[in-house]
Amino acid sequence: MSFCNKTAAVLTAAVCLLGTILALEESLSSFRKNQQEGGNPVVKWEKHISQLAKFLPDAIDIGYLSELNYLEARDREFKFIEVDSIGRYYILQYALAPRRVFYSTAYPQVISIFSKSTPVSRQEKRIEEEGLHLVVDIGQGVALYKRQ
Amino acid sequence: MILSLPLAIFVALALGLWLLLVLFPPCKKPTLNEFVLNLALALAIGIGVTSLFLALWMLAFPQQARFYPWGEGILTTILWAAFYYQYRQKILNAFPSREAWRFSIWKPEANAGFLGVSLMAVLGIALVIVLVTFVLLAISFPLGRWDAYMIWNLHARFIFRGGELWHSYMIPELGWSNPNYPLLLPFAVARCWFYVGSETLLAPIALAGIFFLALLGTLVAFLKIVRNTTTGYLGGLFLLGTPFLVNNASWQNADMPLALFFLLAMVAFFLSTAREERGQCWLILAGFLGTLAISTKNEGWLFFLVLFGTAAAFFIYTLGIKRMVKKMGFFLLGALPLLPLAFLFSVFLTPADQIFANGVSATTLLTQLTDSSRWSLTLASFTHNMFFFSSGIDKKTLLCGGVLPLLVYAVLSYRRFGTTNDNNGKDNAAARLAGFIFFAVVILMTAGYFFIYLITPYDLKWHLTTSNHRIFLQIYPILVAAVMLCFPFVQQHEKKPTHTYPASKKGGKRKKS
Repeated sequence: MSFCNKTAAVLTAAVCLLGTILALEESLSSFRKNQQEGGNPVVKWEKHISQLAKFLPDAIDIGYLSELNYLEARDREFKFIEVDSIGRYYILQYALAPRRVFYSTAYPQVISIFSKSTPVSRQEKRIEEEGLHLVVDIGQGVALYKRQ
Repeated sequence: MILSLPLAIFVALALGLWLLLVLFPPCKKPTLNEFVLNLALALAIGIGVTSLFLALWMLAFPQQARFYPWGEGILTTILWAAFYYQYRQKILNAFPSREAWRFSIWKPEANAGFLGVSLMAVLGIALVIVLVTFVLLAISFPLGRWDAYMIWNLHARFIFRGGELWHSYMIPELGWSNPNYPLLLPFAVARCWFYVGSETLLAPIALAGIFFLALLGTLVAFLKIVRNTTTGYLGGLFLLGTPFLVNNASWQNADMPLALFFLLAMVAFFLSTAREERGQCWLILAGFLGTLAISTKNEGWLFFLVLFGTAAAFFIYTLGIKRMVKKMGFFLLGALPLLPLAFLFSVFLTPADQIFANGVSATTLLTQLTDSSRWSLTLASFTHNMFFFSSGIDKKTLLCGGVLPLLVYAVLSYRRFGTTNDNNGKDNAAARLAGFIFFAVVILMTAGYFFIYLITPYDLKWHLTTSNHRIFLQIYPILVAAVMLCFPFVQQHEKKPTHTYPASKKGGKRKKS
């Protein structure tokens, strides 16, 4: 067994062990962050919007309304600009499956989720423009509308 | 609920093991390494086969989906009862002897030396750390990451909740969720939910953990069988010491099972060439595992073609064209149950892949292929990710994982390049050859991925940033195996190799030393 071969093995073991420790440290910080925030934000959000399920039949296509339209949101996503509206949309579809949620308002039932930064007046204007009628508001900017 | 999830996994394992025992009836008790490799194979095959069964069930009886576990349970019981009645002794032979457990666990190998034993201890510590890391990540991100709830678990929810409309998401309007993606993983998750009767978050987490452990077990056991104990431990350490791989395992996406099927298919192909006994069965298995990769992710198509081409070239080189045709016939026989289904699924059931959705015109292709900026951007991304694919996690882990530690190891072990001597009486010319084949597959896969990026209709920068690091992850275990096969750690007590592998009839008798 050559010196180099032995060195290679020892070095590999050291670097790999370091790798596992760094990964552990990273996971610990994620864990602590979650504890401080009272749970994973995606899980909490999914649980919140799942409340809409009881107002909707199983086999239905639903629209989605947010501060950005689909093309704007996708464009920003491709440019790595933080886009809340599209992230919320993905989780909405996950929460409400097997219902199909489309990023469009051309459906009899539409769910609106606006970010906190969107002024209320702008939200109301968008809903009015679309001719939507409130069915239920479950809080945190999430509401189900019917087309009038 | 507490017992239903383990039961789902146990039934998958039982079916996988049954299939393995039918293909390879054991004549002698396996060593612990062979047992671990068989266990990983049985789990992977079992999860794959049961996903396929559920897919067929959902096509035939979508309204009776909740009765699926009963159907599967009855089938498994019948298959095992028939097998037990016929081959009772062979079942008992499938498990290692008590001595093998004791010897293999507490005493790695007589010639492994102090370093070998120390490496085993380091591997054990690393494994414990990684398991704790995995659990912490699973608690912190119980839904997994983006791809899990945008794609894999979303599709599983449609299967579980949708009844006869389970495939209603397969429309171009939901293209962001990649509705054309294969369904092995979503069906595996939904199958566990059908057993449990509810959408427990533990199901995708447990499957992710199983895929990761099976990947680790496969690599370590394979290297220990083909090379030696110390080389096996070092290979395992390379996997455990890659933070991105450990993180990705908890993300609940399809890269980890895909990496497992890639590695298992390579291992089965190698064993088909190295073992005269039932070599054709290993080839059938390699073909089947290749199609399981196709059923996991679209990248599986590329892998299947690469493996097929590499295997054919290898057989032409070693056996000639005539025997190659016969050998590849066995490979295709293994692919037969799933390949047509996968093809029909991709072509008829789902919308076209986003990359090929609008067709690729010759002019566009030529423009993209001759665009130097696309080449340089792709090349830069490949180089970066090859060396630092862990960097997506944290800057601190930049030097851990990726090609760099492997390169350092290979440079320091350059004298052992292609050695045929492992000092444990095994045939290593075959192992060296396997190393070259594994390298060839990695190079061809990388070239294939490179080409796909060049012609992608997506924004190239976005596509590279969001996926390039993950595609390296898929082939990383094959790369680790290739490096460890070509640059093995030579254990302490030098001895001459005592036989060739596969044992040739001329002089291949093993001498007892």
